[in-house]
Amino acid sequence: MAKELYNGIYSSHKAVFIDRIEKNLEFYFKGQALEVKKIGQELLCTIRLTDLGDVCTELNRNPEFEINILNSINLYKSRDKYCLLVDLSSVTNNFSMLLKAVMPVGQDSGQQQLIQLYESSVSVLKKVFEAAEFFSERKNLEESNSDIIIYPQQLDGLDCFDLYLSTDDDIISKAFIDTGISRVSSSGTHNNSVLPDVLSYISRYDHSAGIFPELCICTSYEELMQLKVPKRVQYIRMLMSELYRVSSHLYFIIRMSKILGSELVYNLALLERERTLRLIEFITGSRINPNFIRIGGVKRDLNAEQIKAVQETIAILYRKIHRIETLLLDNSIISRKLKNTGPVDKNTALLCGVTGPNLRACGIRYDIRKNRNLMMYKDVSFIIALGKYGDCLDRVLLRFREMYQSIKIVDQVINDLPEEHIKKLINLSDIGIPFTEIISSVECPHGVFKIFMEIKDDAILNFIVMSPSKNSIYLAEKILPGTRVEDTELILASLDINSGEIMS
Amino acid sequence: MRSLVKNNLNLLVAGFGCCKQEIFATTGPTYDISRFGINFVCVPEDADVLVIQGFYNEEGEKRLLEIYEMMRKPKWVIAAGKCIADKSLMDKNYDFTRRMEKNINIDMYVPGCPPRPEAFIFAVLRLLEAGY
Repeated sequence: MAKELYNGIYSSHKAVFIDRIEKNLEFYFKGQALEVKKIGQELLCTIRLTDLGDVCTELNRNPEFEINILNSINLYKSRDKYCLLVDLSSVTNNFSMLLKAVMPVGQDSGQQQLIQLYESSVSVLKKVFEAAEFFSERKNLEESNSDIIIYPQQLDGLDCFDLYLSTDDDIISKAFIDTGISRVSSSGTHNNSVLPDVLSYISRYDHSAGIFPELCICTSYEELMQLKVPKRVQYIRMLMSELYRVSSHLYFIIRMSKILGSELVYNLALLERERTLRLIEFITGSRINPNFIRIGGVKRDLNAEQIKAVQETIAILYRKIHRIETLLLDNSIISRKLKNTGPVDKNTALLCGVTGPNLRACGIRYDIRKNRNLMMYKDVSFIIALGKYGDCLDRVLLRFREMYQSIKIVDQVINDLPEEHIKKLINLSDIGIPFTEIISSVECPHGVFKIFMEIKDDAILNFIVMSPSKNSIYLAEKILPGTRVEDTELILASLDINSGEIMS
Repeated sequence: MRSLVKNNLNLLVAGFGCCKQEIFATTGPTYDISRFGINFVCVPEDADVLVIQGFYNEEGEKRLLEIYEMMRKPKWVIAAGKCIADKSLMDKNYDFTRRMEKNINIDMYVPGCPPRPEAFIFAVLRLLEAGY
């Protein structure tokens, strides 16, 4: 029995739970839902555009669903039809679903009509979920009204947006973030490309933790094919994910310490990040963009030398990170500056649709590693770190705790690594996949990273990235008013906005 | 060039992308680019070398040209990464070098996606030794 469980990708109880939600959807939206599909651990519900408002209100109010987060809204063209894709999640019921609505726009009608229809549907969504506002065309603060304009700075990580601030003395009254400079990826970049092409450069969507987009794509294909992934592969994937999580959180600490002016912590954290990156390079062959995950396996198996290197490194890492934490947070000047700066309450975080450490810092327990049983996380024991007040200090503390938990996971994984043959050669063109939609999500260091794809055989027809950093930007806009101008940089850095995720 | 800059060379990094992660790593104690007298600055007027890396759109290009024009002479340019040297990864029709060849004179290309920190330091040192 246990062996069968290990061979499966996800546990059986979760599949039953998703089935129950699927049945509920079919029951409550009998006349409205055209199609309800279960794709892996996600749900895709197709509705008419006219029913969008009613369906969203019902999903929000019905305790069977209780959807309280809107993650993103996307518009894409599928087989000559324009579709609206709304990403929704429920924190209380621990599930997420996609709403798809076909736009009643013909081939001949112009772009103007499409934009009008999109704006009207976003305004319908705005009545239920406030975060929808971010995905509509927003009015910029005019340059005459904004006192301070902050353009991308160098080497501090806040390099992908312009910040317009309207101030009253030294208190910010209005804030607007323009991400126009970072929209470099055209909508059809990955359309009609084959999987190996996309897989090799998908890691550029997450600059600080490149393995998560790759993992997301590969797990989606595995769920589609119901592929039984060897336990050793899952363990190696977990190991790499956690190492990248440590590296990304250390990058966050580096940015924070630079802004706080703690030179010693800056250098020590960079040293530890380098240690982590070198270990990653020793295993994958690359530091930033690993190109390591394959469908049904990984590129390379771990050898005895690499296992020894991991064991040696994590012992040092734990000690050094603990030292960095002591040096940073035992400093009363720094901890006082972080305390009560940029506090976020639970409701604001849910309204803006943030996920990941920023949401957990407010005290909401939502981590799909544990809730959804990604990979083999049910085998290892770890705690989901939670904050209380959601201020900058909580966000920094939470990242430290997550790093300790990651090191704990790596330690368990490397000790229990099973001996197994991992090679599995899969040629997608031989399988002959019919036209399908696939969705997959992973818990990346910034939140829940989700990819939606339309595929046929080994070609990818449509490719949509739903990243958590967009919601963090919206949250920043919400919490900046009322704070002092000097804290702006600190608050923005504490939200850990990744430039790669907002490119599309 | 060494005679001009003497002991100090100021670098300004423009753009965003994964190359920035590796350029960032050079400031740490492992690679320590500052022992060669190289500093990173934010103000274009203070900068001697402009490092172009990452992804650009039309708005980004406009900003980059503004920065380039604001820099005082003599000035040099290093292009780091595949997206600048070749076509952009995120948009196959976008060729930075061809679009900017009339406006910006690039002195050094650093290949790699992203280039390793050692490669970046080596490029800066080559620029110093070249004696433009």
